[in-house]
Amino acid sequence: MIENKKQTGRLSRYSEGNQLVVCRIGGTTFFKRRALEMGLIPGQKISIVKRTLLKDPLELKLKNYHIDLRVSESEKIHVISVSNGSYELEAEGVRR
Amino acid sequence: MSLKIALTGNPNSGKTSLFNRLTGATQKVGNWGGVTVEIKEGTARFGKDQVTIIDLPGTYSLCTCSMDEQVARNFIVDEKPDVVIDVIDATNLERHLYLAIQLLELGVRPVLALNMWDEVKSKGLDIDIELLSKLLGLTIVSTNARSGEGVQELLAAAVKQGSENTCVSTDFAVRLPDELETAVVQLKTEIGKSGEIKYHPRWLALQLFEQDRLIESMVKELPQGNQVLALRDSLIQNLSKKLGDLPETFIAESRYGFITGAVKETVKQTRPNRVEVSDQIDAVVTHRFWAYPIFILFMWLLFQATFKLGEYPMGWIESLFDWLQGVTSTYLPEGIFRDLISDGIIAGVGGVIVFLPNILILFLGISIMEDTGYMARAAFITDKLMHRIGLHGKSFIPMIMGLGCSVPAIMAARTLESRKDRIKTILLTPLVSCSARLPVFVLFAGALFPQHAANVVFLFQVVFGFGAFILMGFVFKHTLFQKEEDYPFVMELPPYRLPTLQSILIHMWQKTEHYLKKMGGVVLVFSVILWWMSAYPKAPEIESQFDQRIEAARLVHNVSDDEKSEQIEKLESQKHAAVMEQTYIGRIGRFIEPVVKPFGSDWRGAVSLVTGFVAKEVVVGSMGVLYAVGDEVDEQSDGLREVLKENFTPLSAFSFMLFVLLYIPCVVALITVIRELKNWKWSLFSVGYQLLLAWTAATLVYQIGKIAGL
Repeated sequence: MIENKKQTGRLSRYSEGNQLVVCRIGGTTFFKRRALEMGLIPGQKISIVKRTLLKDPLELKLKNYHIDLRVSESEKIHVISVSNGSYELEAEGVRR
Repeated sequence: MSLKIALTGNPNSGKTSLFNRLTGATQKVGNWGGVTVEIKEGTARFGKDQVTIIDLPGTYSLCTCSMDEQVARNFIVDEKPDVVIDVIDATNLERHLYLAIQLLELGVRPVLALNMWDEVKSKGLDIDIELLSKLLGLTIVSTNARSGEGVQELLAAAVKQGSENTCVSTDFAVRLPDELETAVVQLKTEIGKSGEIKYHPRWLALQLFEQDRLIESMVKELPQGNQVLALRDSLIQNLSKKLGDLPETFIAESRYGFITGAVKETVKQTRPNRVEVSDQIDAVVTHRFWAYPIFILFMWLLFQATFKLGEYPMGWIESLFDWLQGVTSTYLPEGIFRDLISDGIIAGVGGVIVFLPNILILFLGISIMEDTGYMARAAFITDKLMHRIGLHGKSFIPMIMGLGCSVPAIMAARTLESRKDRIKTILLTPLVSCSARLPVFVLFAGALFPQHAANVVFLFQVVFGFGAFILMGFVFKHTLFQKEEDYPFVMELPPYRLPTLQSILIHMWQKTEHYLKKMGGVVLVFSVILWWMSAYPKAPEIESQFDQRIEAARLVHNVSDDEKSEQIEKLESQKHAAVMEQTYIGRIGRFIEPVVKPFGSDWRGAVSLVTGFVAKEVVVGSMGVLYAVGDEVDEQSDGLREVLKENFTPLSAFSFMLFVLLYIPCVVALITVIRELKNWKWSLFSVGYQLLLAWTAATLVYQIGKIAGL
């Protein structure tokens, strides 16, 4: 259900409060492994809690903990927006 | 033989508190060859036995992204501790169990310490330890390192497992997607052809699929290594086509799948969790706007406490050593031995000890920030700015503390995890103008820019210091470290927690001990050498020549007493200057005069700069002696200002100040840099680039200014 690549967007494009689901992690092996072991695995629900004044880095909530990552790193994380339990495309998510 | 127990766990799992609980005051930095990351060890009593406990660096996993992880993994594989205890934040089981799974894959059966057990209850969680233990096949003990609850039980469980020799797992495997499982088995068989290896073959196969660089280079060395890697590459290609992503994703997914399953069966939320306190605090502390004034307030407090509050004990230390010097000069017979004791050794020891208050207070502040969880937030809100010059958010603290003193500031770079960030921060921090450079700026600004003295001082102390920091940050980012990949920033924002007094005190003491042990001796030796170079060789002929002239001046009859004493004072000063010129430091200054000429200084400037290695403020005193004003001068003295006005132009003074700002802060800072870098190449580079930068900047300004007709 989350394989449809057309509907996924980069995490960096989403705003605070969106319920998101991780689809794919890109980037270098170095980053990818760190992201995966921090729990950013495909299918994981996450939400953006906040950004700093300079918009970077951003804070995520997943499971019951918080992590932060740089915008450049969040660009490598492909997500899909979800609401009411169904996977739905959110307008701003795919805006190029 | 005593049992060897290693502690592993995620950062923020309370591992260090647990280690402190277990070992108390017996801790020391372990001596493990070839390890650049410090590993602490201590002993715990169990019944009548002594148990050695080793505190490995906190890591999220056992991949080798960072030095810490490498060290932790190599320790477990190479040193083969009898038992491994994995410390887990019980309120965050899912993420923390990831490391436990990796340990199992590595062939180690850890004893799990479900730490922070008190929070489990207060959060309304209910964990079925018995069932979890059965599902994982591991011994699990609930602990609360803060109160000490469960710590003895944990030790007992570890000792039991160690003595039963049930610490090795052979057949643990999480369920992988079928295609991947087949590939892993295939690769495992290929690896097996190379014979006995110290790693578990299945684990090796998994690491190869996860593209662990260290393991790759290790496998390359095997007799069948190249075949293994070739097979791995083709398998990865096939799998990615079939599964739609690289195997590493599925491996991580499978591990988490296993964990989620286990957690679902064993953890119940008995009552809805209230809004987390941490979230409430963060609503203010990392608020878009409020975060910054709060951060500045904390930094201001840290700075004031370290340097202003530290002034009092520093004053006491100074008077103590002055008193000691007085005592030795009173009771010891005059001569080289007395000079060595009083001006060499006592002054040297005093010069080492005087930094202790700064270091103690700064690290008290830093441990509070780290243990409460604020450090991660500070890095979060400042990272964007620091990353522009290729640094990490945590580099902020060394940068700010550099304004006070470079020595504790450089030591504060230890909070950075990645080696690259640490090296860069250590290289850059000395550029920030420390408070010892201030007197030099005040003196020159007052003498040559009397109308704009305050502005000129501010320009050097703040604008140029940070300017050089930022500029060189850019330069390093685009030259030295251009090719190196950024260390992933991704990190946890741990929940806020109250630090324990024990942890803070132990942390503070360890930093201080490190400073005294690692640097005290070297600094002392250097101080004695510098003292000797500035006091020897004596020039008795010159001294007696001047003494004769002084005596002659005293006997002159036809002048007033005032004129006479003025004449004598002048001769005394000239004597000091002549004697200093004869010393080794004076000769070095003479010798390197051609180096300082291009930026408009003479040999006296050169000698002062050399003596500035002892401490930057010494430059002022040396100038007083060299320009024959007397040795009791400070940056406010009018006499010294007058001679400087005669001997410097505004342009050459400006260039000289620039050199003072940029060259190596002092011998203690230099040794701190060397000790913290732990690498000769980088240490040499650090010295070289600072000297070169200082010289180039000063010379450029002077030469361009001259062309412009200043």
